[in-house]
Amino acid sequence: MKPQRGNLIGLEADRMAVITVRTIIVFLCILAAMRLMGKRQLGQLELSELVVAVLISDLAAMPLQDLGIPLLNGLVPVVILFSCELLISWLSLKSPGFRRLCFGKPSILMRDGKILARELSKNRFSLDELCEELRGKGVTDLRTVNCAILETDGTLNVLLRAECQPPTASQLGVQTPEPGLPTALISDGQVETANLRLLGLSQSWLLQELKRRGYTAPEQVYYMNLDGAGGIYLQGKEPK
Amino acid sequence: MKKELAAAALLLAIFAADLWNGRHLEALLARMDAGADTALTAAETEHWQEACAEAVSLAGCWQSEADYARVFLRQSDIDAVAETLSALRGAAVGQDYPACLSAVLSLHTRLGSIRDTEKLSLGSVF
Repeated sequence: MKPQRGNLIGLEADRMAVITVRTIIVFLCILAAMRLMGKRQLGQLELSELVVAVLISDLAAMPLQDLGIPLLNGLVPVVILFSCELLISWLSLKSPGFRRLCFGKPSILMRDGKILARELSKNRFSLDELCEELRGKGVTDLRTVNCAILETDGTLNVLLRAECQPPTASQLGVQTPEPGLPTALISDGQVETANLRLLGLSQSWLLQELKRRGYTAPEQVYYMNLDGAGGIYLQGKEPK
Repeated sequence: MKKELAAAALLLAIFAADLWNGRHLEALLARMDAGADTALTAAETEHWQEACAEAVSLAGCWQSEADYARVFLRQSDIDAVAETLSALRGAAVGQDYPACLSAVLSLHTRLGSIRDTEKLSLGSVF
């Protein structure tokens, strides 16, 4: 007996609902896992974290592609991977030996201005790649480089020779006040009350500062911060 | 430290769930296999009412584990077993021994396939 058209539509609607709910669950699970792993930018991931990030996305997609696969088949591997990653991170923190085993150690590719060819070939890093990375750091003249270090996450850090580094205020004998860390006071119209409390400031002080700058309420302000030297940055919301 | 303890606890919980799942599934499959053999024996000796009752009981047993099956087993496996149980019931009602035999053998094969897939062994891992 052929199924009724109405029933077919009902079945399709159920499938869509199942896909929708599964996708939301998987998304929240991956978000929680990546958040708990504690890294925000891909460039900061260590090798094992990169592997985990790639695996998690593939594994979690499985039950979304095939509704016949139980949702647990996607979620359990995600939980296991991020749990293992957390434990490996903790162990590598406690044991330098374990850290060296998992992530290796930084390699010095240039020292005292000389390119260390053996280190380059050990890391399968060509001269062209070295020059490319140095250019990315704003270095075009190799004579200005004191040290170039290839970190365990693949980034290259460069230490310039002292005479090639920009002078600092202390080297020039110039007195400069400490700017301090800017702290947000209003963000998209919302007052950051915790930050106000942290700085020992009151709502009435805030309203006074706003009035001085031509604003009557925090809701009119897009962003406002206060730095350690007492400087205020304020930008109002654009008129609708 | 809290995160790491939570991670270790999660891993332990998953391992414990694996152990529980393995035992639960083995017990279920063993019950189903035994029930299928009982139904076949009844059909062989032409005790058709008993065969029908056993077939219905088997279907009820599988149905009672529907929630567990939906969470832990593939839908294709669940459907295959349900289809075979239906065939067994039909054969018992129709008092058709060859069809009963075929259905029971098919059920043993499908349950064995689930067992092989879900059991931790070198074969299932690789």
